[in-house]
Amino acid sequence: MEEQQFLIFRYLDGDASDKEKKQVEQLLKTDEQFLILFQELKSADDFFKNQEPESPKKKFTQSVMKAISPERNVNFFDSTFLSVLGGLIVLLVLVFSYQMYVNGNSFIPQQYTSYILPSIAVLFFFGLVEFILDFRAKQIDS
Amino acid sequence: MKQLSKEEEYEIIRQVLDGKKQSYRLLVDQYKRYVYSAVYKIVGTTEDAEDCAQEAFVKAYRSLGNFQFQSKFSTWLYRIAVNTAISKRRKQKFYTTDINEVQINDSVKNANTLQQKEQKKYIKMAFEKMNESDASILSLFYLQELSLNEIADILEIEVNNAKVRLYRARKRLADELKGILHHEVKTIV
Repeated sequence: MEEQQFLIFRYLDGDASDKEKKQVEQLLKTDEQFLILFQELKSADDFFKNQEPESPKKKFTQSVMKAISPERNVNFFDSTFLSVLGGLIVLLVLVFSYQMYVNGNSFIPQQYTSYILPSIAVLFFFGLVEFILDFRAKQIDS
Repeated sequence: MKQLSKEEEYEIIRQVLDGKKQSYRLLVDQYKRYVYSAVYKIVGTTEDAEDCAQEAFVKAYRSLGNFQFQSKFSTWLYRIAVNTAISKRRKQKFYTTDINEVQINDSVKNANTLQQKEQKKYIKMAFEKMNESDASILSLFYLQELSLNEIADILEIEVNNAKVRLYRARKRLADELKGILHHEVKTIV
């Protein structure tokens, strides 16, 4: 019985040899049981074969691409907030020092105070570059 | 969508490995329907199928460095997808049958007939009766995209073994379908 089933499947899949094809065609004419089995298997096969592949949700590709992109550290507290806070503290310390220097009671040795303003400018520049790069990276990620 | 050749797929994989992550989108778009359809028949629900298919693509992306450039990308991807789906199915504590949950393809939604919905319902019911081994081989076979050699390769079994397993599974599926349709007819009558 199983041999007959296998023969039918080979025939349906186009894998049967010429001899097997003739055998199937002969059996279909002469063996009623074989004919019933053939019809059952063929109709079931047609039933399952005539199916278009299903589609996942429309945003499937987007979800996959998001899943493979590890989130950058965009936590506000971890990045922007702390950067700004740190920058402000440094700035305040420098401004305070400069004021003390102007008022003549600076605790910073005089030979270093001339670097304060350029230092502020350099820090501001790097802060700005960091902000722009971070902003651009977030744009690319999203 | 244009079918990518093996060489085109290899080129995309090389681009992804070189850091052009966005190129992976092309591979996802190319295979998402096939992967989704295959895993859907194994896990049985749209939600699980969606999760499984996504997981398979993510796993494939993360293992892309291990891809050998010998077989087709699809063969490698289907192997990951089928294994993911089987493992998901094993984890499903309560594999409930919701015969009303029939996935309808968006593109054919408007033109979809009751007959097609019914057909999908019966396919789902029949596949749910199959064990995971039968469901895996049948889902790959009925994608109609793969040769028996490829199916054997995906399931990591011998071709002759795949052939016998497939024939037996098709017979069992035909029997299940017959039983379901017989029951439906009796219910209507």
